Amino acid sequence: MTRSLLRLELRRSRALVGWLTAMLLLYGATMAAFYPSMRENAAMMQQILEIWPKEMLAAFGMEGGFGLTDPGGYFAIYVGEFFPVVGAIGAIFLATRTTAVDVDRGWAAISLATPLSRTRQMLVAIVVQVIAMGILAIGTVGGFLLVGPVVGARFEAVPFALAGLDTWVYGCAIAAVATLVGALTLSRGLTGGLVAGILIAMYLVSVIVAIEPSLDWMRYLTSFAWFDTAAVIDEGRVEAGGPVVFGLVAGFAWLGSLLVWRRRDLLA
Amino acid sequence: MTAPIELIGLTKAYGRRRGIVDVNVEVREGEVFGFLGPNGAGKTTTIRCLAGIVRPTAGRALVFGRDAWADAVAVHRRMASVGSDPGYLGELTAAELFRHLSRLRVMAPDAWRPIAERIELDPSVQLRKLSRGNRQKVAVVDAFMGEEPLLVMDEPSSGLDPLMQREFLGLVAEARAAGRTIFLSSHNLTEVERACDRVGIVREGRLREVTSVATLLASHARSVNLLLDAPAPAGTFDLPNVQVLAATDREVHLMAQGDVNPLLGRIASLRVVDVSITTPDIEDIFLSHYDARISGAEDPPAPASDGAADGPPPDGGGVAR
Repeated sequence: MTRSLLRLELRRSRALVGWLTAMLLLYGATMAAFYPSMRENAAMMQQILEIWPKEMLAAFGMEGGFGLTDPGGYFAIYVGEFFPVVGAIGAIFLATRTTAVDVDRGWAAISLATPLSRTRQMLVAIVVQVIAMGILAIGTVGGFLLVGPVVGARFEAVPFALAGLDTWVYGCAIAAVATLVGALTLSRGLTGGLVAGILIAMYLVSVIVAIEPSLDWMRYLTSFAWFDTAAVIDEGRVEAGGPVVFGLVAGFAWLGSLLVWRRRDLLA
Repeated sequence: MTAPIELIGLTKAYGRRRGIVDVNVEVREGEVFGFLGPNGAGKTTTIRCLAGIVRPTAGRALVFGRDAWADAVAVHRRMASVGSDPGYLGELTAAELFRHLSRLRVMAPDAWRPIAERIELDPSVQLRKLSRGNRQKVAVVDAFMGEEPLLVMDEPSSGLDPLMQREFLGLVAEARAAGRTIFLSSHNLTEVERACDRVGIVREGRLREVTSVATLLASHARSVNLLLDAPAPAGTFDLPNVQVLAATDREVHLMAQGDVNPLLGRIASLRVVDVSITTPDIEDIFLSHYDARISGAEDPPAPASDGAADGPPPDGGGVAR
């Protein structure tokens, strides 16, 4: 029963996850291809950065003090900042498929007209999200690792793999929150709006915090403070804080989704 | 023995909108029970409550003694339910869908095939490419491919052509012969008349009447038209439950209710050139329930009229058995 449902749900996720991963890979590969040029022009880049207003740097997530010409800084600015957007698209689509789309179209009623429990149905949806986010995370770092040797850039596999792990857990947190909101609202539109709104609000907060030091305490309310791939890649500093926070968010949100879904009136 | 379906004061409100109100009915083992009503009457809501998709606002829906909402998994081990115009996944072929559902319903993976062949469904076509009628065939296979002792179907034959409707009625008859219980909602009154043992008529969310099809048909008036060789003697048709609606010298139009034998005895004493006795079909009876609404009258919820009712509880609802 579970295997059949999992197989079907993975099959239904193929196109979405495939296209998003291909986009991430292509984008990562393209950015990795530009990296040697960036490194060759490091002095000029530094001069440019020095004359940019700090507000502008903050708006583009470049306030962290790491260099654009280091692999980690470069990855964090050009790809790490891009992942939450792509991850959220995938997470919202996957999470609301079970909680909104299948309810609207009547597929949920067909599945639940069998001895399939809602708990099992939701658990399968969660497993699919975990797998999908893993594939997206591989796509996020994969472009760099594939193209690095081709363009002569030294991207170390282990730090990038750790950054991928960070990315995966971050994606799971976004997916879990989207699942919980979806279970509560039974609406893809509302869920998409809320999750995207939360991410944008957190990004704005992180920009404001970078500009205004007195508001630094707010930094830790944003997911961007915990998603620090630059430190992992450049300094080999594996900080458990980020993955632990994202893991806790994911765990509680998925648990909440399960509890809500078990008792949710599917008023489609 | 526990009844396959027992609805006890079942009520579902969608916010301020009415769904169903205080529905009480018990469906007996091995019977085919028809649930009749116009759009928006509450048929689908009742079936969704039975399927454990929506939570009743009040009352309970019991399936073989188990609560359809709280104990949905156990209920679905013994109940197959198919909704109206089900939202099957368009990217699957019918065969893939049936294999998937077979696994979920823990049954033989090819159990669907004989039914699909019987109703001439091509299982290799993607569901999104099927016509409305063929999608309905998929629903029919979905309903009948298992061996669950209870089948709940929401307008299962809508969209089927007359030949397939006949096949559908055959499947219903076979399922009943096999001892399965069937609860179906329908707009197709002829189908209900042919397939069902009892019907429940639902209107504006309330169950108005539960009775056997035979009792329903017998309890309603028959129209009798006579063409006589000579005028009938005065007082010929003075019988209880017989009403002369129109009469000329040789033509008489009567309405007769209940037992028609006394009337037939009187007719036998006359020289009759032609006679027609029209039995109202269930559609006439069904429509008569709505005439009251059209004329602005409001009839109270009726208890069971097949002689086996427990009688209405103090709140006016009735448990029909």
